[in-house]
Amino acid sequence: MALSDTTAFLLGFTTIFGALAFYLWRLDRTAARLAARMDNLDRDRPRE
Amino acid sequence: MATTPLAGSADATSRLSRWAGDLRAPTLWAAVGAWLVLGALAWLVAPDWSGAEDVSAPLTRKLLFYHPASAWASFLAYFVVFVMSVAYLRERDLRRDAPARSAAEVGFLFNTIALVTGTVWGAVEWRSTGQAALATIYSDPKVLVVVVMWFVFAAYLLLRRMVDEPERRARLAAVFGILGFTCVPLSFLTSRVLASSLHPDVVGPGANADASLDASVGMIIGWSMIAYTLLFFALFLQRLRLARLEERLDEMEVA
Repeated sequence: MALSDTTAFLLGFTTIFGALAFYLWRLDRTAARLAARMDNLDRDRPRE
Repeated sequence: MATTPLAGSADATSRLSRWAGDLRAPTLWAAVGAWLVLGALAWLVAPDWSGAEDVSAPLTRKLLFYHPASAWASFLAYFVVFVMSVAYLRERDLRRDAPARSAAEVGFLFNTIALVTGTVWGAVEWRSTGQAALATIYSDPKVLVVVVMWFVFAAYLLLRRMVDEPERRARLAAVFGILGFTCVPLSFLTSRVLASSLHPDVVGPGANADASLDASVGMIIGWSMIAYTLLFFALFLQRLRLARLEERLDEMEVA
């Protein structure tokens, strides 16, 4: 694997910021999924 | 050994939850600020290595301000996993499981970043050793220990998805968490004890990084550790909050 300095630099920094962005997006999706579950529970609760 | 929850522990949990939630935004903003400062220090204050004769990859060397700190953040996260796993096995209290799970997830993220950045950096920095780059990188004892740690925590996260019963899942995960954490002191020791290790140590006793790293570089590396620590806590608190909410929803759906 003969990487040039520029390619290694780009790969390294894309990994750092790409992985962090992916994790933040995943957290956001988890939060949205939980909010949907909460809405469903609210809807299914019998009204008094 | 099962213990009866202490009176008022439910209140303590909700206080902890609120505290985690309240701290979330300031920690995230502090982390963003620290990362902006880190970027400025790395690109404006750090020496320009492009003219240095002994530096084969001057651009990639900027990873010095990101790669060791990623490893540090993963070690910190796995320490939290270790503490919470020991606490779970002692108390058999499921409230210890959510922090362990959240820290493991964030730790795995930083562990992956450290491994990938280390691989691409090593591929250009260690190519002069005469061996194939990947063979050089993955035959280094420190890297091998970190790879083993990555696999243990990958298994930890997979196992959590595969086991449905909460107590069994928490017990198995705690054992894996403790096992995985043993790699942290090992990775510190390998490059300091084994002469065959190519991997330099830039921080701590026995640091052996090359002489081109002056005082300003040391200061920026120190700052990168602070920035990554803040980011770890921001992500951990956010994940913990979601994990607690998930647990509460599970209970409500069962009821």
